[in-house]
Amino acid sequence: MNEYQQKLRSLGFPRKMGASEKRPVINEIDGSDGGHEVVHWDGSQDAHVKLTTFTGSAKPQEG
Amino acid sequence: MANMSSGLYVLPWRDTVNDASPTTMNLTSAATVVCLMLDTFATVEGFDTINSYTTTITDYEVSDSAPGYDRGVKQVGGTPTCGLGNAGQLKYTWSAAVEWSAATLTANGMVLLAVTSSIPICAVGFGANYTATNGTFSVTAHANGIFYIDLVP
Repeated sequence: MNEYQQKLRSLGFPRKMGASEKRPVINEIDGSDGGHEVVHWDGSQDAHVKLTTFTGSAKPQEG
Repeated sequence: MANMSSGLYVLPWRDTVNDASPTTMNLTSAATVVCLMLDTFATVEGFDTINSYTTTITDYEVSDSAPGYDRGVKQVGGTPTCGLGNAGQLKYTWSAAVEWSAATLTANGMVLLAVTSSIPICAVGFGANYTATNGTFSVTAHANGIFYIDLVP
C-alpha cells in the first residue's frame, strides 16, 4: 500500500494519519502528575502510569 | 475515588518476620514477582486479612480475556531491587517499566504477587483510571521506589 492509499484509508479515522494526542492524567489521590494516555490516529490508545511512591513506616512508641 | 490508598499486606510481612509459612517472598528476582492489574482498585481492602492470591483479589483483577493481558504471568520491569533508599529507608523498586503490549484494558491499581508462594506483597493505586486500546499499557516506578519502609521515622 503506497502513501496515497494509506492516506485515503485513514479518512475514516478521526485523526490525520500519523497524528497522536497526548493527554495527561492527574493522580486523584494527591493531585500530582500521574502519567498520560496517548490516542493515536487509528483509534488505538496507550496508557503510561507514573507511580507515586508510598511508605510503610515503622513508628516506635515514644514516652 | 474513595479508599484509594496503597499499602503493604500485613500478614505476608508478619510471616516473613516470624519465619512462618509462607516464608519466601524473594522480591528481587524478576521471575518470582508478577504484576496483577486491577480494574476496581477502590474496592480492594483487606490489608490486614489477605494472605493469598484468592478471589478477594481476582474479583477485582482485569479479566483474563482482556486482549494483551494474562493473569498471574507478567513479570516486573527489568531488575527488581531492595536496598537503601533515602537515609533510613528500605526501598523496593524496578529498573524498567513493566509493559503490556497490544493491550485493551482499563486499570486503576495493581497488586504485586510473590509467585513462589502466591502471596500478595502490596497494592498500589494509580489514582485514576488508565485505558489502553490495542496499545501499550506501561507502569513506571517512582524515583523513591514502588514503596519504601521508613525504618528510622
